[in-house]
Amino acid sequence: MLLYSPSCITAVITLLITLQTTASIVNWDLIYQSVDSHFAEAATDDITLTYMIGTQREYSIELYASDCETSITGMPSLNMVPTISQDYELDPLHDILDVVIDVDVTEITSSNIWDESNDTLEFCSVVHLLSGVEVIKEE
Amino acid sequence: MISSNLRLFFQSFIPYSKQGIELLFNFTFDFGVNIEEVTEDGPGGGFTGEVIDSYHISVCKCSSHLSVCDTNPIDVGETLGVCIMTTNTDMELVNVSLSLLQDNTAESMDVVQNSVIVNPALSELTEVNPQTSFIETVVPNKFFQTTDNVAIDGAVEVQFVSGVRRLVSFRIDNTAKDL
Repeated sequence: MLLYSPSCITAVITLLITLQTTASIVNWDLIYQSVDSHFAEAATDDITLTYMIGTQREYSIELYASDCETSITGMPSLNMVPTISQDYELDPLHDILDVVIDVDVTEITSSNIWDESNDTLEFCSVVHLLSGVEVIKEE
Repeated sequence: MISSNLRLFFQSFIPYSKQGIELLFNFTFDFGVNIEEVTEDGPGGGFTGEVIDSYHISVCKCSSHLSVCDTNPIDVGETLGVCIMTTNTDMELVNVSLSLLQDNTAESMDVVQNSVIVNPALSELTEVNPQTSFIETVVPNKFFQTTDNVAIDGAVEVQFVSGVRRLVSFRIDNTAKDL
């Protein structure tokens, strides 16, 4: 014997009016947030770049000279460490990507990212969001 | 900012057995489908018979499943929506396929094949009703490396109430891209 309760009927109606969607696109946000710098001789976090990216996206980071094409030269000790943090209660759609860059201050003036004319360090950071090996978004 | 505009592009027909479907492009966002008797199969065979019946299918850029067409530019990484729809209730859309193509760079991406999403992280297919399908996809960064056009190629199989199925192809050209 089949029994029909109001809840079953409601469930069927809900099912019928639901759009048939085959997949759900994930969040591909890639938003530059800030840059923070405090050079110190013993410090390893001289520069920190912060991005907001879609939750659990794969990413890659590359550093270039200011033209965003030429590799950085003259800084053999340059080191970059990306870290991901989340606060899903505050923002369940995004992760925070911090790119911590360690610069050996003694190498700065010999590098191709040092501008002697105005004593500035200028470089380009390129972040990619990836689907496999394919670049979906670039910042 | 990288942006682009979409407009429909000419599409020829795809013969189907002894019948063919001619897509009549009117330089807006709609095209008609005439089911005609043909005397030759294959591209270039042409249609020489009389029109049996006429149906209408629309394909356009849109932003939601509500099937409201628009010409808004899209930014790199932004989702692209494509609505495929007909007002003929005696015809249903089945087996939708859609790809992004860039001729000069040979870049391409299969979005949907026979109503199956190729990469669920990038694309979504919503079958709003038997007469309307909405495809939403992220346009990968590789399509925005040059100012070359990006075309949207696709096909949809239409099934008539009588049970007969026909294949309809379409193409939307993405032009006026600014870098």
